[in-house]
Amino acid sequence: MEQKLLYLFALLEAEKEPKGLPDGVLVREDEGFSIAYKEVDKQEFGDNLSQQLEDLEWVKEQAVAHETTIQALLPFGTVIPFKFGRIFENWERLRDKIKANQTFWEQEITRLRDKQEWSLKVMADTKILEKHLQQNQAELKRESEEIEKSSAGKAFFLKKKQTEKTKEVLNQKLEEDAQHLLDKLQVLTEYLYLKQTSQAEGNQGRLILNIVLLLKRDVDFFEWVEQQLEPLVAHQAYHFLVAGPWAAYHFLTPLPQVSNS
Amino acid sequence: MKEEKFSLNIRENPSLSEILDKVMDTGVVIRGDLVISLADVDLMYLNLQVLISSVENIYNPALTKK
Repeated sequence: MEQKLLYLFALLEAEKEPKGLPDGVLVREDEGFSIAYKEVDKQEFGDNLSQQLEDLEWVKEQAVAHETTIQALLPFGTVIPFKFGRIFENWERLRDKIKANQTFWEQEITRLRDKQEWSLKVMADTKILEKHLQQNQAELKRESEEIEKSSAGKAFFLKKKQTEKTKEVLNQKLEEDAQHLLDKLQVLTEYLYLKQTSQAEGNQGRLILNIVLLLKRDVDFFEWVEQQLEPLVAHQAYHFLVAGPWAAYHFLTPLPQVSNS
Repeated sequence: MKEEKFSLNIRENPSLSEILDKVMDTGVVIRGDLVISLADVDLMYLNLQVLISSVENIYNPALTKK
């Protein structure tokens, strides 16, 4: 008979019995929690693991399977997701590890009950914004009019000067708008995690805000962005990319070191 | 002057990069009897980012509303 290992996905405070989970995912009640895991082949995840890790397609599949399971659990209660790749020899070993931190899990579940994570990226199309600023910002608009009236030679230098000024005004505008949006988001939740942005321009523009938020479960963040953020920048070249809801990945407390040995 | 009405796009399926960001970089770190190559995760993550940088919207479409 093929030997099995146990891959741990999440702890769950189930409000109702989880159903329709991905193939092979089991939920077992123990120590007052529902523990989501699946049996995996020892040959694949144990003996040949180093070989498997060289196969990026395999790793990708496992990572997506991990998140698919977490997503499937979300409608059934508060989910504490584990990091990718936690594997145990048998149920007793897994249970003992959970039991060793019983109070910690209870506190985490209480803290995160009825809350979900969302992510928001705000991209700015700088080409459209530059054009908009040159047509509407007083100083740039005046320069545009002067360029139109000038001779070719003078217009060339004025245009060069205007390009530099536009960049400066653009950066200022982006900073102001990002702060404006952030202020509004901070009214919605104090649990905000700001991620890195970049001056680099991607396919969808320049990333000016990259945020993860923890929100109450009854908040429809898609709708909130549409209704609350859109009016703030209604005539600007901004794209709001919203994804979620997710389990509270970014808002988990680290497991106490003393128990993590 | 006529003011342009710019587009606003607010809904998108999470990309694979975003999924990897969550499952490999966050989540409770509990030590299993085996851990999938913990020391190499950063490197693996970088390699994967390169591999999938052009792949978008592969994830369960039911996740997001359109």
